[in-house]
Amino acid sequence: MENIAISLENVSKTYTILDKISYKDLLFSFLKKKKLCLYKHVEALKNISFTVNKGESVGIIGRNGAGKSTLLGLIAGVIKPTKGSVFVNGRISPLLELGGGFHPDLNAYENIILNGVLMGVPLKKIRKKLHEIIEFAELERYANQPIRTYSSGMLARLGFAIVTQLEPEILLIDEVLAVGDIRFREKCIDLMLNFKKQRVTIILVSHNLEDIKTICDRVIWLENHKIKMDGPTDLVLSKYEEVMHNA
Amino acid sequence: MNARKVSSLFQKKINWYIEIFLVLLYKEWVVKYKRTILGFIWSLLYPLLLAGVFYIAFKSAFKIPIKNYSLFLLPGVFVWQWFSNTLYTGVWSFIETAALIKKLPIPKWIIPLTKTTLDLIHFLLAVPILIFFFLFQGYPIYLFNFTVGFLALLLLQLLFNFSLALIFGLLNVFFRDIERLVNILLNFLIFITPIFYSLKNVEEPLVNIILLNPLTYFVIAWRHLFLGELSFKEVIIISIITITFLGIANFIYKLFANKIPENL
Repeated sequence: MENIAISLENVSKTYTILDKISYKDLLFSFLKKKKLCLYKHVEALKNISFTVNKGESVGIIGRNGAGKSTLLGLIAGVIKPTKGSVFVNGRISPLLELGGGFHPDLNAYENIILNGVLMGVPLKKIRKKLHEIIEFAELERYANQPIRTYSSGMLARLGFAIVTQLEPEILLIDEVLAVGDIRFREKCIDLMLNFKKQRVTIILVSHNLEDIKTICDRVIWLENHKIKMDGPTDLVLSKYEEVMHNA
Repeated sequence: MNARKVSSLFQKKINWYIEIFLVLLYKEWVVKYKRTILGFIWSLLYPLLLAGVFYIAFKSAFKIPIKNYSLFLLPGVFVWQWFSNTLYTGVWSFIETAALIKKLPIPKWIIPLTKTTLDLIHFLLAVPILIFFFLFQGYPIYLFNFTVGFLALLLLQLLFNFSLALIFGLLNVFFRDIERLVNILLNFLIFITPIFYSLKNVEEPLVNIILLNPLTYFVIAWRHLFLGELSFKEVIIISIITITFLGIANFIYKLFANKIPENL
């Protein structure tokens, strides 16, 4: 139990989405005495079970709409499963986009504190790390400016620096290594490899198979809301590429 | 797990909640006054101007028979400002923070709580002005009675505003009609709350409608506090109102809170 970072048992997620209802539908159903269906069900994940041990780095691949984001949401604890149970042991550090934990009118320091606290890092600890984060993001010259003045590359760097410099336990990364220039990208990948050595659990969702090959030891392939394959990176990726090319 | 470990986890959680609350409050404050010259002074100026308009309209034009009309107006106007601001901002609070709620499992009720606390701070900044007006007009303020009553009303008003912001904010995630309804409700509510008139000025059938409005009891209690007439019975009544609304808010929160992220 101590060794497990994430464990999902028979997890299914069905979204209940409110249909667009207008007063016309309401009136119509009332006049015809028909029962009005207010919502529809959309299945996102079916019977997902897997366990991730501490220090493992797992890639998640699959077509758009296969359920990757829902899976990340479940692990992050934001989305509750319809069936089954999700067990997470450790602090989750998701990489945030602009608008998430960031606010455009606050400067880099304020955003670091906001983000860090929301992620569950104690304020004291964040204060100590402020300069390291700014340094890693290479934003020393701009740190006092509101981040609405930043370029998208600078924002990506800041976001990445915050999650990675605050001693993450479980990293959730959703297709972000794509932003930033080549040099920063290399720096990120180095850092991820470093985290691997420090036994930080990494969950990486990406369409970039090269990144997955470099970082992950294991890949989970989602197809049609189910796990199609779960195994060592080489094995799963070769099968995946084969299927994608033939399709 | 032993008891000590459980209690230290609990302590950690409480600390986390407090820190989230504080950073969100700070963010709200900074964002609200970005690029304004007068900053928070606006939130004092606005109700004072509103009071001025009421004064001219009802004292000069309609000759409402109330002595010391400016003192009569002020507490109610500031309470109204707090209440209506919380509702206007609270109804959007979850939708505004969608990106955040969808990524991080933070306790969602903290979001409307920061909204109403921000307006509480504005109210607190206005209190010295109110006290000054009352002292200036020769009303004594008994420190002990005033402080006890003030803290009680402040807490009750905070919880009452919070529960309404939470209820409307939650429902607005699912039906955007709620936002329109809240706007209409507020326009209507200011007339059925005895802010610029006294219950004595109102005829029989209308009084019943005004007495059905929960905010009526808050406004009258605040006014009585500043006039030194606040009774224990009034505090009990608004306590019951507050607890009722907190109960409703809690019920709706339990029902819908987990469904917010996927519906944003």
